[in-house]
Amino acid sequence: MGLMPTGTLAALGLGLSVAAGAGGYFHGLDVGRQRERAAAHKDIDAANAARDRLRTLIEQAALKHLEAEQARQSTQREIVRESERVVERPVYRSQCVDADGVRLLDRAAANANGEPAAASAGGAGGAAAR
Amino acid sequence: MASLPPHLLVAPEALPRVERSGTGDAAAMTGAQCHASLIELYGVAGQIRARLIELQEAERLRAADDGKEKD
Repeated sequence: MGLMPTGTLAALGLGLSVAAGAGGYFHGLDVGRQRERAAAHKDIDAANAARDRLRTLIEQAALKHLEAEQARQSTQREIVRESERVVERPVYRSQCVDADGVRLLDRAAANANGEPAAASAGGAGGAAAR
Repeated sequence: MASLPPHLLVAPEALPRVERSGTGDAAAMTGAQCHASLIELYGVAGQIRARLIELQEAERLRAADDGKEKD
């Protein structure tokens, strides 16, 4: 077996070095990508956990408010029932608002509801004259 | 970010018109109609107020959670 020429040995050495370098580079690249993916997963998990935590808090608050709203509605019904009894008294049969007053109240309602008619609707023209 | 419960995103109820007898120039309200109209108005206002309070609390929770995330 003859000795290899120096040039061939050098080329072989160079080839091996390049191959090792490239291998190391690609391995490093792969490890970097894996770390990046792991970090991204961690971020997504943290964001999901935060969103779930917030959703739970909002749902708990909504439940508390639902109970309060049901209590309010129940009291409102009670007030309406009681009002129906109270207004049977003679004093409630007398007129307390005339046509101009009703028109103004309608305008106030339209204004509160953001209806464009509220600004241009006829006002209580006769009210000032009386 | 968690979204708000759907019932908080519903448009609020319109305020009711007052009860009356007759129409136009003949429209008038008795004391009874006045009383009933005010009670109805308070009812709707109470509902809108309750929803506003709930919305404000939901927004406070979101803001507090945002602050925690930034820390």
